[in-house]
Amino acid sequence: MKAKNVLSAEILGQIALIQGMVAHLPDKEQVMRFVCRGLKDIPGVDNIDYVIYRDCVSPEQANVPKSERLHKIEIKLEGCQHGELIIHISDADMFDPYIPFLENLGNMLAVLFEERRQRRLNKLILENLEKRVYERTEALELEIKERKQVEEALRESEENLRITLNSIGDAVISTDTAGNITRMNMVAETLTGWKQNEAIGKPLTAVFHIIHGQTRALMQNPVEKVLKARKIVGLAKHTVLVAKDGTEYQIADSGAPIWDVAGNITGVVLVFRDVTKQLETAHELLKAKKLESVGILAGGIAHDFNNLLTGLFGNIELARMFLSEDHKSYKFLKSAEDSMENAVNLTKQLLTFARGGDPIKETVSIGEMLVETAKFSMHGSQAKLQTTIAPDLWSIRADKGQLSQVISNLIINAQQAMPTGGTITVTANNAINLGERYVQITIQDEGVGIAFQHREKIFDPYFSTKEKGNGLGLAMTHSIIRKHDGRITVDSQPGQGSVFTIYLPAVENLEEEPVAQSATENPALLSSSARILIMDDDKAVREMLGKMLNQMGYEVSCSIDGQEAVAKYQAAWEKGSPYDVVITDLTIPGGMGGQAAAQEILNINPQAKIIVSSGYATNPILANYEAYGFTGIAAKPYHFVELQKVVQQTLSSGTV
Amino acid sequence: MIARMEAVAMGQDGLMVSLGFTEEKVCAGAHICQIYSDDAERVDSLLKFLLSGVQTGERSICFSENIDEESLEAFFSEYQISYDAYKQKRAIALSGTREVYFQDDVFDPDRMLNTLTSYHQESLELGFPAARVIGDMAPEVQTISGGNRLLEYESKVSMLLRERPVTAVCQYDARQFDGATIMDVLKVHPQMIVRGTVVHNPFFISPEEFLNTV
Repeated sequence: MKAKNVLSAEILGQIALIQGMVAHLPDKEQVMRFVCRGLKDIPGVDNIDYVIYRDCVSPEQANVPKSERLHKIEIKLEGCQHGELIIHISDADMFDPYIPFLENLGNMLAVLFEERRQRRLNKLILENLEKRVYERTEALELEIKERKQVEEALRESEENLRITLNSIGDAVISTDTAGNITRMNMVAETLTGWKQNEAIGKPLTAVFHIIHGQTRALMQNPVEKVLKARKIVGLAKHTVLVAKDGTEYQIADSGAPIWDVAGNITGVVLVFRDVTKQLETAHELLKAKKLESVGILAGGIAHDFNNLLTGLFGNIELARMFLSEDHKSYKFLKSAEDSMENAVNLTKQLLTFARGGDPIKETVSIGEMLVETAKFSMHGSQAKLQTTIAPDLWSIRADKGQLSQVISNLIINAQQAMPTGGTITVTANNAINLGERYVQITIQDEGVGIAFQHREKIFDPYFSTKEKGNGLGLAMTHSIIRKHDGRITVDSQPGQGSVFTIYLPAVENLEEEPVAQSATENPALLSSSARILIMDDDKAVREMLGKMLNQMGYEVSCSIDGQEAVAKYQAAWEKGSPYDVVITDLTIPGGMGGQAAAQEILNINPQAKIIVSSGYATNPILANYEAYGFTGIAAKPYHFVELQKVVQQTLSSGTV
Repeated sequence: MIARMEAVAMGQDGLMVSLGFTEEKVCAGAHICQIYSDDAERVDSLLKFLLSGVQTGERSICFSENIDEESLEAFFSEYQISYDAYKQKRAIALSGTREVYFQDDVFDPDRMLNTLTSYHQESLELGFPAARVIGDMAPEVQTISGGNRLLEYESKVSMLLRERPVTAVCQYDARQFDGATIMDVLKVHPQMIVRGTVVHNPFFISPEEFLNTV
C-alpha cells in the first residue's frame, strides 16, 4: 500500500534523469514520447498524453481523451506555448505531491523547446541574412565590376581627351561656370606660361590675361561673354595675350559653352592660337601688294623718265666737257648736272619698289661700306656715331648700292629721332640661327622711340610721322632687305629709343672672295677705236649715246629695233668686219627687243659682246644679265665716265 | 589467472575499471547505457574506452559501424601504442554492428548472449585479467526480425554479466531511436551515463522483474 502525500525518491530521481536526458532527443515528438513513457510510473497516474503546439499555436483538434480527473502541465515560456502534458489521474492524493516537480519539468521542457525554436529562428534568420549577404555581395561585385569598367572607360576617355588636346595645334582651356580653370593643354601652357597643375582651380583671368592690342585696355573675360551669350563667341580683333613672363601674343580664339546631357551649361571651353606670325605674314603680303602697286607705277614712270634724263643728262654732260672750267656757262651746266644726279637718285629709289627690281648682287664684305655710309650720313648731325664691326665679318651677296641706301636711311631716321643729339650705335656681327649663317647689323639710337600703334606701319609706303617725310625710306629699306633674302626687325619703346636689326644671309662658300673695290680711274684719259652698234627706239637716246661714244673715239652705227640691229650685225659679220660691241635697249615697243636681238646676234657670232641697256632698271634681266648672254650692263641715264668704263671693260674682256 | 577472473566473475574482489571517458571507475562487469546525440561524443567514447582497455591489459572488443581500424590505429599512435601489435595479441578486436548483431538479417538475442559468453571464456583462456565490450546499436534493430527482443536481450545481458563480468557499454543514438524506445532501453540498463558521469539508473528494472513482464 502506497502512502499518501509521500514523495518517492526513486520517482524524483526518474524525473531528474528525464530532465538530464531530454536534450539528446531530436524533436518535440520524441521528447514528449520519452517523457510520457518515463512519467507513467508516477504514483496516482493512470495515463499520460501530450499535445504539441507547432509554432506556439494550439492544434485545432487535439486528440485528447476526455477524463474527469486531468492535470495539465503546460509547456509554456513567456507567452509561447509549446505543448501540454495531459495527465490522467487515478489517485490525486498520491499524485499531487509530484505536481511541482512536474511543473518544473514542464518549465524545463519549455526552455528546451524555446531554445530550439529560437535556434531554428536564428538559423533561419542567419540563413536569410547569409542569403541576403550573398545576394548583396554578388550585386556589389557586379556593381564594382561595372564601376571598374566605367572607371576604365572614363580613364581611357580622359587619356584620349588628354592626348587629343595635347596633339592639336590650338591652345585649349576649359573652365567651370565660375570661371575657374579645370583643364588646359600643352599649347595653352606654352602661350600662357602657366603649367596646368599651377593653373587648375585659378580664375581664368589670372592665367588668360588679354588686352586690346592698340588701346592696351583689358578685354572682357570670355567666360562671361560665353555664359551670357549661351553660344559660341569669338574674340575681338587685335586681342593680345600677355603671358606670365610678359611675352605678348596676337591671338585669335573662340569660346563655347560646355553642355551636359540635361542641357545645362557646365563650363566654358576656350580655343585660341598664336596668330602673331600669321598677322605678320598677312601684313607682309599687304605691304608687298602696296609695294607692287607703287612699283608698277614707279617702274613705268622711271622708264620714261630715264629716257628723258638720258638725253638731258648726256647732252649737258657733253656740253660741259667741251667747256673749260673758267667758262661762264660751266658752273651752270655743272649745277644742272648735280640736279640731274638728284633726279637720277630719286628715280633709282622709285625703281627699288618697282616690280622685279631685283638687286644686282655680288659677294661683298660690308664692314667698310657700313662705316663709310654711316659716317657719310652723319654729316651735319649733332649725334655721335659708334661703330663696332666684327673683324672676321662674313661676306654676303648684296647690291652694295641698295644696301648703302638702307644704312643711310636708317642713320638719317636715327638722327631725326634725336633732335637734341645722342649716340647712334652701329654694329655688325656674325650670327647663326637654326643652322643658318647670317650677318647681323644693328642700328640703335637713343631717340623718342616708336609708338606702339605705329610700330606695325612704319614699313608701309607713304607712312610717315615726319612733317616732311615722303614715307618711302623705311618702305624701301624693307623692300631691299627682303630682296636680299634678309629680314629686318624693330624693337622700340616710346622714350627709350629704337633698335633696327637686319639679318642678311652669309655666303656659304667661305673661299668666295669679295669683289675688290674698282680702282678709280680717269676715263677721260682712256680712248680706243672700235666699232659699236647701238640699238634703241628713242631717237634722243640714240643720238646722245652716239655722241658720247664718238667722243670716246668709237665708230658708231645706230638701229631702231632688234630686226635692224640683227640685220646690220649680220651684214657686217658677213663682210668680215663685225661690230666690236653691241649696246642694246631691252624694251622696244612693237618690235624685236634687246633680249631676242642678243640671242639672234649670238647665233651669228657666239663670241659677240653685247651690253644691255635699259631705263627700266627693274627688269630682272639686268640683275642677271650674264645668264642671258650679255657681257655688260649700262643703266640709263648714262654717265659718261661710267659708260666709258663699261665699254672699255667689255672690249677688254676677250677677243671677238 | 583463471581463479582471479572467476573471483571477478563472482564479484568477490570488487575490481574497479576505468571506462576511459568518465571520471569515475565502475565495477568490472558493469552494464552501462550511453545515450548520445553527437557523433563526436560517440567516437570519442569508443576510442577512449578501447584505449583504456589496452592500457590496463583488459581484452577489448568493439561492435560499431562508425569506426574503422585506420582511425583507431591513428588514435592509438598518439599514445605510442601499436594497434596492430595488440590486434596480433588478440587483445583488441573491431567488428561491424550489423555483422555481429544481425547475422542472417535476424537479431537473435540468444546467439548474441552466447557470443558474449564465448568472448569472456576466450579472454580467460588467453590470460587476460578482464574483458570489455562496447556496442553501438544500429537503428535497424527497430525493424529487423527479432528486433522486438532487444529489451529482452539487454535484460539478459545484465543477468549474464553477473557470471561473466565483461564490462559492457551499450551506445544508443537518440537521433535514430524513438523516444519511448530510448526510455525502454534505459529501463534495462542498471547504470547509465548522464553528461559524462556514470549514474545509477532510477528507471532500471531488474532482469527478473522485467523478464516476467515480457
